[in-house]
Amino acid sequence: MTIQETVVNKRRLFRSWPAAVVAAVVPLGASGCTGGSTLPQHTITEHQAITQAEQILRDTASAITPRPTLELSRLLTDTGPCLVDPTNTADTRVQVSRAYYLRGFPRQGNASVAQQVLAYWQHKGYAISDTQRMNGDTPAIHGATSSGDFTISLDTGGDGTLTIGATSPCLWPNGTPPAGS
Amino acid sequence: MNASQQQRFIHEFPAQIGWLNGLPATARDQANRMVLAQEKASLQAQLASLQGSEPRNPGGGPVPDPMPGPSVAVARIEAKLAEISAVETGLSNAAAVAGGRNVFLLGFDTNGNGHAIVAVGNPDTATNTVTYVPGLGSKTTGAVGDVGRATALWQQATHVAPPGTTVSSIYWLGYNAPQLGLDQGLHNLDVTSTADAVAGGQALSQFQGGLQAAHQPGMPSHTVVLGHSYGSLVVGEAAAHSGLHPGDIIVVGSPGVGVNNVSQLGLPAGHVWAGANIYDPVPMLPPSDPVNALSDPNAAHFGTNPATTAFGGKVFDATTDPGRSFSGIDISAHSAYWDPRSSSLSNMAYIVDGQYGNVSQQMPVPTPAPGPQPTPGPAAP
Repeated sequence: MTIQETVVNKRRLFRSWPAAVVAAVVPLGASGCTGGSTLPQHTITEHQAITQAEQILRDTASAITPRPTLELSRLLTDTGPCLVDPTNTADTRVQVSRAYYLRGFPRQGNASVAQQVLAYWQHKGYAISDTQRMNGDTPAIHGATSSGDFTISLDTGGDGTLTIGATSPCLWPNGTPPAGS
Repeated sequence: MNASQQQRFIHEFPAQIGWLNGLPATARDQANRMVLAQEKASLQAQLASLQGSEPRNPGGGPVPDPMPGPSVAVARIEAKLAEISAVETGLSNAAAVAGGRNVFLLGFDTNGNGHAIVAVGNPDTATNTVTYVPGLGSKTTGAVGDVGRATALWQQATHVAPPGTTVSSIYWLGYNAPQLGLDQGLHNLDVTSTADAVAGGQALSQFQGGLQAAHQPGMPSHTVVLGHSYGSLVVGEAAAHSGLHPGDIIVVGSPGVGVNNVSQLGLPAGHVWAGANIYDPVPMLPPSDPVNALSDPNAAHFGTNPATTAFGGKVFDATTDPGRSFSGIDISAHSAYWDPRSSSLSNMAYIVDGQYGNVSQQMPVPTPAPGPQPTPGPAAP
């Protein structure tokens, strides 16, 4: 039995068909599904998010011995739409992602580097949600900073290169909703 | 047909060419962008006319008569322009990431709540192609976020793909997704029915057949279909009844795929994958047939929950952004499967690339706190 089964069996959300209709349809319908949420009126700015992401990643690289060379990943660095809920058209916030390839060591060193990154992130009090293949040459780590604001990851690209990345929470580029929204 | 003849057909029949399955992505893209531009210009001209400005119809013909009730007509036109704007923004956002020549508008119209198909990466040449089918509440006004999801998966799948392989990630809103809202009346119950999924499944299967036909011969092609929420039922209907046979099926936040066992989908058990965040209430919705609730302890709303071992497929770790800090059942968890830097997004990318050995299985996570009341929120199943 999987965790999901356990949850389903122990905590079936609705026990009758009418209740399901009421619970599943009415609350969502009442919110209109497109803008029923309350969006924050103040966030960090896009510039501040880039600065913080850079700080997280450069501090991480500094904790690795020998220190790797950082190369910006154009593929994984962008400012994209907030993906919290596509049906909420009122939410025009964005998310900032920065990522760097870690270069300057052989693929056989991936496990050692990943373990150093994991130790550093744990030392910083970051929440680690998942680690994979930490003793192999394709390790992966997923987590979030201690404040929970930025998500962080280490993973291995298709060519075997380790990559570290950070993504901001959803934010208004100028820190406040655009006029008229 | 030579290039000149192709161009003539595209210019004379863009709406038909744009939706014609089996044509090259570049031809469909050209046709659909023409349709979008023409529709936008026409609507802007109608709006200007209604608002008392000097109407200008770029086509040179007469400006259509305004509909009765100017305020209603203005609202209708503005809503259509908002749909177009969302698709345009989705296209430009994707182009900023993948490159302008690497984003294709494979379908577009403003009928009903609108329809759009956007490919990030050329599906005709891609080694791995994933088609994302959104669910309840989806309409083209949500194209910014939905194309954003497709783009996020393209980025991650491209990142972990071996050198020399390419990815196409497609947002497919080629069906009428059920809607909720105070203006929907009895249509609010559409989400409890399979009718939209049956029709959508047929269209999806035809689209996938077109992708296969248009793919360059001799090049490897691995296809994946990804259904979210009610979109997973569309995928299930397509596989069970409409001849859809991709390399892999992924469903996330699924209320069921319309069948009780993976064998009914026509794919090997190892190629049907389900992800379900334990805080997501949608997989826990009760069966549409109350009798199933008694006979099948793993029943979801539409058949057996695909994220259970009873279903017989694979269940992957769908842990989402740890920063979200869900403390109990939360409808927001239903929209979290594409969270940046999450295990969920990472695992979907591995499946898209056929790197099955890297897919992590469902990990133990804390049981939600007592008080299983859903948190009303804006996210739609």
